Amino acid sequence: MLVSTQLYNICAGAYVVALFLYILNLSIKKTRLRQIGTTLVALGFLTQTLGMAFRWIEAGYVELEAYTQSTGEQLEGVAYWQVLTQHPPWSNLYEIMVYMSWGLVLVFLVCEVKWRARFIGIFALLLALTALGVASLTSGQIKPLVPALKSWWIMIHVISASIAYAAGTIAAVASLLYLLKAEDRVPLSKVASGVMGVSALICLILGRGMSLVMTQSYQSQGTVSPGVGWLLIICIGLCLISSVWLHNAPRRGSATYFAALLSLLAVMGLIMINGHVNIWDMALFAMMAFAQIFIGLVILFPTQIRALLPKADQLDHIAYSNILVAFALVAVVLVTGALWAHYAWGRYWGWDPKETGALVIWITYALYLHTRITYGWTGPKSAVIAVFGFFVILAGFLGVNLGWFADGLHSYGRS
Amino acid sequence: MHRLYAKTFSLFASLKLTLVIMIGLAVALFTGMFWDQTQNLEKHLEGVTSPAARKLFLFLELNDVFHSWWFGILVLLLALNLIACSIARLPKIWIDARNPVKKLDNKKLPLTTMLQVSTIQMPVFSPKEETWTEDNTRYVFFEKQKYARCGVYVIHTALLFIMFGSIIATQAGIDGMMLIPEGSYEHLVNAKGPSGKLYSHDLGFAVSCTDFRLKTYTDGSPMAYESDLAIFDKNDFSKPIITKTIKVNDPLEYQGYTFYQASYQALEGEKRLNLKVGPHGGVLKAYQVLPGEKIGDITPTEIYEDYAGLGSAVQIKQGDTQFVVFRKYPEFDSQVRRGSLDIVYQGFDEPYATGISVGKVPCISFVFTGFVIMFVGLYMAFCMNQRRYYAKITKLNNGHFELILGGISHRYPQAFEQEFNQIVSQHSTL
Repeated sequence: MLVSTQLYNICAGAYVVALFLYILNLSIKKTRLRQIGTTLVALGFLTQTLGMAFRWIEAGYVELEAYTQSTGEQLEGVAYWQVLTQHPPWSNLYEIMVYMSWGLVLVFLVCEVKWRARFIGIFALLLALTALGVASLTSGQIKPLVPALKSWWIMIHVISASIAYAAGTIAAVASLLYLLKAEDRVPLSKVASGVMGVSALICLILGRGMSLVMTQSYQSQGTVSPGVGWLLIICIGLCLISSVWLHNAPRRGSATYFAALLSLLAVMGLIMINGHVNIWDMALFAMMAFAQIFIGLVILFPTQIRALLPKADQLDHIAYSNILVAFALVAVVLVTGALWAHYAWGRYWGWDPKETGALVIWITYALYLHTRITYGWTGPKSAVIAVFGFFVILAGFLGVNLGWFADGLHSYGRS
Repeated sequence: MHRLYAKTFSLFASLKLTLVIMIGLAVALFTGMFWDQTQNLEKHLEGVTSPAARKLFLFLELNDVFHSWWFGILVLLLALNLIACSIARLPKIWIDARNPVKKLDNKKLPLTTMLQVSTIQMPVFSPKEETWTEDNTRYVFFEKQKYARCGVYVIHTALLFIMFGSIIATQAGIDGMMLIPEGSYEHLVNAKGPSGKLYSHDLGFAVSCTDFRLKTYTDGSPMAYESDLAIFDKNDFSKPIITKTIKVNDPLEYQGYTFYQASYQALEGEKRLNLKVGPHGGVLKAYQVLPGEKIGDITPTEIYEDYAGLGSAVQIKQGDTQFVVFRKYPEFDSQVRRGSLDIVYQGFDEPYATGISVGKVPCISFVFTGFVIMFVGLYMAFCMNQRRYYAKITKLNNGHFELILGGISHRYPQAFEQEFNQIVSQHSTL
């Protein structure tokens, strides 16, 4: 096993322990627990950064090896160092997922130092661990780079993207917490209704839409599971019913909410038993499950959990600050990407799905800022746009890499 | 008529229009992501069967969303919206920045404090402050980052630069490919126009490729490639005007055109084998031969693209024996076959045509200037804050002074309150 992979495993372990400590801190109110947790996260983060440095060198050795194998020459001096460092660790899907979790933890640590808001850490670590989990199940084999990626522009372009999307994600988390905390402005049933509605839509997409309904089969990596398909249709139905009932008749809605949640967990269980698991589908299912379980807890213990949540104004402020950072950094991503493309391929903008995806994310945050600043839409409306922004990131960044949209020059991430 | 003008202007200057346009753009971008914009029309229509859907597809130009008529309208509306918003809002901000209210007014400032002090430390806020006396009262006024509120309009200006530059680039730019065989030259570019039309563009000078070099990994995928280019006057091929070795990410610029190493293509021709041969266990020497040419007592006879699933290989004949040498396993021959000679196979060279991507983007400087302005605007809008400090000093009968301090900031009220309180505590300790 590569040294970098071992370091990533250690950091994942640190995050798991820290997550446990944060959750424990919810009932055992000792500040010590929280401080130890944060220290563990910081140490895990340093380990992860060290791991990325190691992987950079490991990739460099792969490049040197490939060069020697194909030309029979040994490189020396300046050329040796050039080839050794020309392969930074962010060129395939595995490395990108590691990078995203790195960015998430970094943004979380900054938010923790600035605001110390409870629950943000729990969600941030859950998401970072999901990203690392997906990474560990993707091929992490280091392959030599295609010539177009051998450029120094990649550094600032990818770092900005990582931090930008991480900040956007934290803003979405803070906004979801806001919607749950601000009970005077947002009834809980409406939030639960929204989550169920979105879940139904995502499950439908994961079941590949109409083909799910027509054939009652769930498709994963080319294999078909009819049983799962039926269960998924039931799950979608329950999500829709609970969404409508929660919106109109909160009491009936609550019961169906938990039925829908259980059916979602059953779908996940059945997929894993069946054996044909698509990790990306599972990651999406897992995120839906986290959100639904958390909101389910708020439905069951509203006063206790709301008492633990940070102040609504602070959550609103955290979301706003993070989106400011995300907006500015996505601008950097777009500009550095355009400059790089101009010097490499002669066209600074090609309406490639990935370029267009980043632009959509930017426009979504512009929308957030405009409605807030000029319309005065702080509060619930703003929070909804921020949560929507998270899905735009999923589609515009991950979706593009995974081939949900048309292929383009940018589909390097697929290897 | 005047009313119609006023109504139209207020429509274009409204934020509601901005929101509608932004949502429209987001939808347009998603649409463009779904259908592969580089595919040609026929392939797209294969997937659309019903005649009604076809009509809709063609009407909305879904095969080329970003050059379609409705996308153009959206962009135009956005440009008009940006300009109108700036005309409507910027003058007031500018006038306020140039002519601020300098006198302290308790009712209008969000932060005010009244202190009684024995001495006043001057300057109250900063050496650059303005101070004057009126009716036995001293007034002080100090402003920080007074143009910060213009940041948003700087960002909008940047967007206009980028949009304008892009439109010119799309309409007047040249974007095409040239395929130049090694040892030959070309002066025509296969270009693609704004609506996807293909045409031939004459550069007016000749671009020649004197040599193309390709390095591949052992599995055949490209590791690095470069071309030696030379530009000649069409009428005078004796001396090149300019020469350069171009690689991926390192192009050649001449007369506003940029020539990028984009791709390559193998041509029909003889494959020259790269072999390293030497006595077993000894020093190997490099050779480049055609199949059938002898090196010492061995002759390479056949080239295999994939021999028994083990990758590219070459068959060697030595006397009466024949054996195979693999590219992926360079030590195999010396350590396993252990013949009188060690042979390493490093692939073959064949004649290539270099694929040059040609681009001329007039007014690209507009777009890049737009980028620079954007960053200036982002800094102004997010990192700067217009803050105003006021003071009013009156002498009291007991010889002490009454000092009223006031402040107002455009944004970040909590941070400003901290700053203000610091100043208050500075003065109240006297």
